[in-house]
Amino acid sequence: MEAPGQAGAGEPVLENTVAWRESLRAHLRELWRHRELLWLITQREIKVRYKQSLLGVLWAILQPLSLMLVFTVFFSWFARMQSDGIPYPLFSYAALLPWTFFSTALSFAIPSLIANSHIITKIYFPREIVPLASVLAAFLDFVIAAGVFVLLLVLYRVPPTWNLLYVLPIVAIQLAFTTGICLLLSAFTVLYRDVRHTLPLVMQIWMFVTPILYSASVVPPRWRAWYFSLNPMAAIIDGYRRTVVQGVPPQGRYLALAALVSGVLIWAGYKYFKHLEREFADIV
Amino acid sequence: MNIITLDKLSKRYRISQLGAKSLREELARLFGRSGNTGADEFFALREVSCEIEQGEAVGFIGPNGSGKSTVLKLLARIIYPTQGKLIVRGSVASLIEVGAGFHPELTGRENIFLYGSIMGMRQADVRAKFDRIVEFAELERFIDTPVKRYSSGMYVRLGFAVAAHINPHVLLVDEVLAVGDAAFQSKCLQRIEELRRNGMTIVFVSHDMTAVERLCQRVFFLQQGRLQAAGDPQAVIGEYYQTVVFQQRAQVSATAVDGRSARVVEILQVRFFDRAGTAVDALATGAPMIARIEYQAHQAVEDAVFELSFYAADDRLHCQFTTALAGERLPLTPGRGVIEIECDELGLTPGVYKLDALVQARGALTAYDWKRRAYVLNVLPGKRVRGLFYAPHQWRARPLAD
Repeated sequence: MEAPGQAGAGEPVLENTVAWRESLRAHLRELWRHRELLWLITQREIKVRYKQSLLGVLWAILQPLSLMLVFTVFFSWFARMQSDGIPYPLFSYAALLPWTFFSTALSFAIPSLIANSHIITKIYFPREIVPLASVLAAFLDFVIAAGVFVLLLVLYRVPPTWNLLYVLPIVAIQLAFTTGICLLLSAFTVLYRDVRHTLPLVMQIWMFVTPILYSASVVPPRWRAWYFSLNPMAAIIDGYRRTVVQGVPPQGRYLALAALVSGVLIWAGYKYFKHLEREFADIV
Repeated sequence: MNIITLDKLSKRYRISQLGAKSLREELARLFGRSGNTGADEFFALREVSCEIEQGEAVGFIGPNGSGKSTVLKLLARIIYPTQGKLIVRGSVASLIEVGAGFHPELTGRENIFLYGSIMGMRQADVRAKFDRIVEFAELERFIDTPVKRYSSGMYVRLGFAVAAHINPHVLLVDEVLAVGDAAFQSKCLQRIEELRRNGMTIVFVSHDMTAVERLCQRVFFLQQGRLQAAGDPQAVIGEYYQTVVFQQRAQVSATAVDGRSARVVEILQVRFFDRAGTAVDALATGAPMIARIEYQAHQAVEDAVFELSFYAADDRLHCQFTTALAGERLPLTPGRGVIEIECDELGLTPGVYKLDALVQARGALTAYDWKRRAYVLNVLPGKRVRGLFYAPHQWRARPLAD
């Protein structure tokens, strides 16, 4: 029998003084301490989603792939939509891939606190883990589906360029933007359930104001500054398309603005989340 | 050293905030009349202060809604206090609702890792203790079955097994042991006692006073969110009984009135006396008891039988006295009379007992009078009882002569 408080061989005893007004840094430290739990809950999300389904992980690929096929048939073959001279399947898949990540993350993360209320009212852990796990699970789907994209690029003989490296900061911006929104809205949903009902409509509208089926170049030049500034997702999706498929650098100005917005959003979202967190167990 | 400090700790709920609002309601409240005054508030806990030392086992007792569970939830950091200070120097694990973190789709094995992690264990640590956990839960055969196929007993066993192997500084135990079979329950209690002996601080919440007295060195009595008494288990549990009985007695005396008098024999009252002959409503376990049934006979009765039955809080019959077994005939003449039972050492354990008093003709199927749960006897902690009842006894020791 080991002495109490010793978590295991060689593990330090954690001094866990509970204070109620903690700084953001203390919150982050607490989150870091629970990193294993974040990873486990992410795994749980994935496992539960694919368990008992015939296709398993293939679902992650199927969603953007099937949309891409439908879009190609109707918008490219029938409607003859212009796609900046890129083969339409590549053109649309480059946008559908990050968009699917974004919309999956939101649709799972925003109601996640309510869906997990049975744990939240019974056990303590940093609550942000729940929506973060949803974002992370969606991100893993994104990575898997990106494998198919690489195959497509090879198939269409798209030569790799150094501009491909821009993908890394773009992914980081998208992650920050997505996480920020998810933190903000998942906490908000606990207080006001309305969010859940309006989300599908908002996501649909958002998809159409983002250059996914069409090229950002169809937006008239005088509207373009507004178009990209008001919708960071437009700058992000356009960034992917330029750097990966077209082999040109992204539009730096708009992407920088998206980065700024994402930074503010993730900071404010986390702050707001931790502020409301105290009441979750009382309300949810 | 104090491991837990509560300093004027309060938890307030807004009644209208129980459950989330819709945005429209909120806007209406914002722009409309803001009639949100004090009447809307409810204190689950009000300025409770106490200190718990490292290695101590303490209990929180009180009637339902007194704030016991709120204390546990605050200590477990599930909810946040409204006012006051709460310091816990160390890690906390709770047995508040074992198995709450389980996911039905995952197997027992996967859930052990997930639950362990939710409860603050490192994965390496869970791995090291995995076999012991499975063995404790007695689930070796089903460990790779999704827990949605588990019975409720298996569910609780797995939950407790993980929780009992976390090894935190402070273990919070709510009434979790109500589920599971008797063998597993005693295994759980044994494990908790083992942990306590190893110096773990234990905070226990229960309605089971026997378990509280057995496990705890100090007891806190909460009522309506306030700390009513604290200290030695026997004294505090006694005070708890006094207060609870006081309330129940008021309820019973209102229902005990029965206007009909067209009976052969009527029971008027049941009262209790101590050896000195003073009327009492509380007696200690092991103390001498005299119970007196007052009756009025409207006709002469050839052979009457009186019965007095003691029902515990769960409405189970714990003890019955009957004159039917006394052997002799008991004729009654018209008029008032009393019949007394004398008992040298009361065998009932502490608690609140409701009494039935009955009078009938010997061998009859219907009673002359039957007062159901009409009287109350409050049994206070007296002689120590571990078990279901106290048996009067004496010890003798002598060397064994060859």
